[in-house]
Amino acid sequence: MLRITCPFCGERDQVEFAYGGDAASVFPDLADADLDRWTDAVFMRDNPRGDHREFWQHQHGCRQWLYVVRDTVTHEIKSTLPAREPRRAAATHEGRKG
Amino acid sequence: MSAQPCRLARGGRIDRSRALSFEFDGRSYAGFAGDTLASALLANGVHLIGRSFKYHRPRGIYTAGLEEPNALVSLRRGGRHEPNVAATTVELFDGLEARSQNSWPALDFDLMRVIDRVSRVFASGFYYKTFMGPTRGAWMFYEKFIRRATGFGTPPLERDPDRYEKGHAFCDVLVVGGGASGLAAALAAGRSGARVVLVEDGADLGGSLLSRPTGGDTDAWLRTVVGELRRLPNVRLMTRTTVFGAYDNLVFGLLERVGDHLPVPAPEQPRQRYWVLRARQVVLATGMLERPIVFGNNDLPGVMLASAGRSYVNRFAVIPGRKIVVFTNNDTAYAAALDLAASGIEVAVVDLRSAVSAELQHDARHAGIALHPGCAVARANGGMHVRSVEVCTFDSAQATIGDAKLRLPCDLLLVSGGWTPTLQLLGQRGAKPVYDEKRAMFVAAEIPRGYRVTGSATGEPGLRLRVASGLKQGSTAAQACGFAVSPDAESVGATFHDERIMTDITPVAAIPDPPDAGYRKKFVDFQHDVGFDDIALALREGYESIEHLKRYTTLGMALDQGKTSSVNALAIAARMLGRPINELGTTTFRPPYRPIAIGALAGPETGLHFKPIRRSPMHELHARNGAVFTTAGFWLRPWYYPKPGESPRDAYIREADAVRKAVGMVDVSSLGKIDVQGPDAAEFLNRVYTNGFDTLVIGKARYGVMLRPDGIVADDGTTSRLSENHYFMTTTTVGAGKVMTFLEYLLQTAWPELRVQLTSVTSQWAAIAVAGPRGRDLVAALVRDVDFENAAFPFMGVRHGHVGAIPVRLLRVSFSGEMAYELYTPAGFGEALWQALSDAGQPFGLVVYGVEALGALRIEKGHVAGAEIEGRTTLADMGLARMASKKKEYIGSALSRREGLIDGNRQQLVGLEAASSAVALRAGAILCEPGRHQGHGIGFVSSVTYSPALGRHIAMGFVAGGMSREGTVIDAVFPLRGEVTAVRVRSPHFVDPEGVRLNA
Amino acid sequence: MPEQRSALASVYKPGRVGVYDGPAQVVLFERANRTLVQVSGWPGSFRELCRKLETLLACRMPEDGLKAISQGQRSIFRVGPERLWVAGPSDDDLLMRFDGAALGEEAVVTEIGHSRTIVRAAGAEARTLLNRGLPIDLDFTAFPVDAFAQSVIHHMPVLVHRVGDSDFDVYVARDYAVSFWEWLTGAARSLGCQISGPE
Ligand SMILES: [Zn+2]
Repeated sequence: MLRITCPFCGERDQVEFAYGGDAASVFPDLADADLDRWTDAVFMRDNPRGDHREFWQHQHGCRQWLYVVRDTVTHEIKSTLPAREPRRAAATHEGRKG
Repeated sequence: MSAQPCRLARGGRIDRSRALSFEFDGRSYAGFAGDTLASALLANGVHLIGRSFKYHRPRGIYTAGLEEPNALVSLRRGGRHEPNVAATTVELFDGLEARSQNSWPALDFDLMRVIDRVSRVFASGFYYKTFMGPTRGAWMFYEKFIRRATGFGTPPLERDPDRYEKGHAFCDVLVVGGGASGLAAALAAGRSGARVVLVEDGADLGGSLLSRPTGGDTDAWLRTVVGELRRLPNVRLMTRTTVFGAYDNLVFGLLERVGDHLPVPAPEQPRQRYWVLRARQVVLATGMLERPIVFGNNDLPGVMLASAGRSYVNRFAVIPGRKIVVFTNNDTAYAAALDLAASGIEVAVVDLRSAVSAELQHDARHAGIALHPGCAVARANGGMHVRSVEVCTFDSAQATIGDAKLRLPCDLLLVSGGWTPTLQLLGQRGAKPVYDEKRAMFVAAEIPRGYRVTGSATGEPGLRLRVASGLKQGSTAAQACGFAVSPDAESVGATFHDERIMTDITPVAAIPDPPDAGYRKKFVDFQHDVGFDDIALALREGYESIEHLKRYTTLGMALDQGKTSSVNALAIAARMLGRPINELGTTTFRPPYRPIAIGALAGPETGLHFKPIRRSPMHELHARNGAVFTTAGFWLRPWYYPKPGESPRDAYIREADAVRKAVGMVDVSSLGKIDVQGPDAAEFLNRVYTNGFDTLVIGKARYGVMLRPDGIVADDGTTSRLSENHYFMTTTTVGAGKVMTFLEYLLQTAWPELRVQLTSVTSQWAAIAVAGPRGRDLVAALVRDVDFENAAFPFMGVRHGHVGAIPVRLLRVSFSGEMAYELYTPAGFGEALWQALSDAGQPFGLVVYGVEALGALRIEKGHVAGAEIEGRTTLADMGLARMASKKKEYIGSALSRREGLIDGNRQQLVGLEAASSAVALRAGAILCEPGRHQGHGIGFVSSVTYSPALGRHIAMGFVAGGMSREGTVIDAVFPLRGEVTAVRVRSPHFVDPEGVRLNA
Repeated sequence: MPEQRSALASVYKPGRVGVYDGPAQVVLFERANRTLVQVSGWPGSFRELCRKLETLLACRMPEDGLKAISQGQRSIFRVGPERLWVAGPSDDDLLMRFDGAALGEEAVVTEIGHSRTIVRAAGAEARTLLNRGLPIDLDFTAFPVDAFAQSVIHHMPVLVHRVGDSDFDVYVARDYAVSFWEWLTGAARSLGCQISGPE
């Protein structure tokens, strides 16, 4: 069982959170109806050994969506941030896999 | 009850003032408070406890702790019957009933022993080789005989009457183990002010100190330390508790045995309590377990570990034998030999090592112990109990056996093959121990963050050093939690003289067969009957990886998880392969460290409390109205309201019919309700719904559909605009949570720039739908402050009014196709509103209806619901293509245009009616071309009902080609029941397709 | 306003539960006459909104999601980064007729007064009782008076507020109230529990 530190509520049990998928993929703008870009965003996932960027919602807490970096080998939670904050940074500097 | 022939007259840590009576296999015995079942049986001279798993060999008591592989018994009766309990862990209580296991017809006369005689046939891989492949069919035939012949105790058949509890706990420092070093760690940490939890498996604190002779200076030390710990308010001592699991982020699973030492738990008290404990630091003071040595007939009753012999004589004042041989490859067994000899018992020591220290030789001589250095016990002799041992010369340098030297008569053989630090909890965290060749033991290598190891668990033999290490680790753990440690935190008032520190060991796991000793089985894993030969066979057949070896032989896979066998098995395999033990590695440790009852894990979450129930504000009224309830997610909803003598079918048909003919009302409070507010609310709804919402005028509602990002329909509902920036969204009952979470996801991850606030208000509002040709008359008669004229309050209108003093929000929406309103009121007024409608409804012929009639009415109208929005269907599949706006993009719009989703051959929604009014339809039936009942057919039936309006069964379903098949007759096939029903494809708008009734 | 019906009306039976000998270690009762208002804002203007609320309610606003501000009969919780709950007695006219208009465009007021049932757990073992299901550290060092946490008890979302040394208020969604009450009174059996009349 994980203990996840919500930036707003503090360190809490995993049972309060819900996993929300890969945070490395970002939806294109709605106006962009390009099928390939949407297919990429919705279906294509990396499966890294080590740091994994992912969304968790503090569902039974403040209901914030969090941007979490978790080590897939050790389960160590490296960082948690409100999702609305790192979204742009993540989208720009990681980009999507070529 | 009889005297206790093997109990010493004095000594021990038992309470002789409290005599207890107990039964084993129907015979009555006496024991004392402080005994375990095992010590009490030994005090009565009972050594034969059970029959082994596979070969039905007689087995006795091998240890004095939870590592016990042999002495498994069943306890109690009826619903409290519990199989496979180690007698060494059972605290004796008055009236305890225990039974032996796996014997037939009787423990001392077991006919299944014949398996042992032909046991070469049953070697590892026997079942696999015999019953897989071409002879597999034979397994079906033989399985029931084989299952009866092998195994452990039988499971209980009755319901467990006891309570189980769960608890959440938190601490700074968790100390696992209540022996000397654990107590020291808890003391040092506790003195700093840190919140400390110390967990001890047994009933008493002290660990191995309890196995020392009573009255020594370590007893005084123990009293001092425990006394101080008990006075520290920040220290919690949990005895009879096991840390069975170490999970991520320093979370631990604990099992507290609250009532296992009692005949039945105290009134209202649980039998066991399952704790989830989060610590900031943990100190493992888990001690170590003694290793057996493998030799012929080493499983005979009367063979036990030397440490167990010492524990029985010192702690329980039991002399487990009158003539004792101690067989050892190291110094530590001498402590047992000396303590037993001090009790006046005849003791001989057979030591594998030719060079025994002068001190030990002196001690042995002084105690009258016959010493046989450079010798091995090659075999134990005896039928049901050890009678003698064959002693051969042994070359410890070559590990080769020499000639038979002598036969020593004895009735107890104590064995010590070295020690194994208990590191399972580290192993559960993925930290594998490494083998220290010099000390012949696995020791901790990599220590995970937050963990510390102290005491014997480090392999340290000296008590003083172990205590010093405990104090040190306790201090540093407290410091790591931010607590200041004073310089004298690591001193204890009381002191003790250390016992002689004994370290020398000649690591030999198994004694080779002497040429003339004759073949006898040598067991490595007693509990699973895995022998030396099974390991040899597995290696010959190529199962050299330790994980393969384990699975092929099942070694270490029994209830004891190889606590006494894993290391010996590794040592034996390593020697056979000629490789160092560290090259073989270890198997993976997983929780639990010891067996845990399923009841404890379930805790109180059974029956009524299995999961919570969500109830509508009008729930009590429905119950009083005789409603039969059904579940929808966590909700309980009225399914139908039967009148006396009515079947469920009669009831829902009557209810649905009355709605079409007069008026009905139904509780729809469980619909998901989301308050959407903010300057960008309209834009947000435009992005998440397939149809437009920015054009919705204030005071109107609109039906909306949402897609998943992959283009599949997610959920539907109506959303009304209450003011410029304020919308009120409804979702399906089951979809509410998912929709809310997804909308929040979009706002926070994809569109943080939108200024929209979402709040789930499902619990805030009671909701009642009133429908039927007299619906308006009823609502208009009751609700004031609203003009109900068609023009003033049109279809899809939203208004506010009052019933008495109760505020009501009205939506003129219809799921049934009738003139209908949804009435929303704050939940605390729900009952009053329902009651008011009920009272006012009599003159209008009002009926209450449940979700079955609701379903019937919506199917008659061809409205889709959960059975159609089932995770694979698109808007077009459900005939809702018109809902897809072409003026904008929305979530799911891009991928809804992918090839697979616009394929013209997709199965599409149709209405179906039974060709004959006499037959019923079934949801889930496969639709096939007439007579061609193959494969997946051409579609399936999603929803069915009896239609009072049409006088027959109708259905909704999906079929390839959709409405192009209108008018044709196809087959609805239900292979599970062998049913084939002819159905006619037609429009799903069965009733009033023009919608005139909406405004009637 | 007409009277609100308690969600617990059908199951509420004052008296002893579970272990009978000795004094009750836990006292449970419903805090029936309370109301609740939610005010939400946006990152850029939340500070300003708080200032307006401070004027309106004559009370400080909480700085974080760990500790409530209690003043008189009111308690204010910051349940999200830009979201507040104001709880108070149901004769608190200001809350019962809470007017968001006074707060301007930067405030969103949501009516949630009927959405929660509030249960008080008091007594020496109240903390033990809640921790049978609540995965929150209720030790004084971690959870002092006025600390609160939104969490979950037996799958049911709750907000737990420490209102005194051994007194806790639990806010649970109204539709779960009966299940929560059954869970709570069941878990209290081994402690010895007194259910007193609603307050
Ligand atoms: Zn949070």
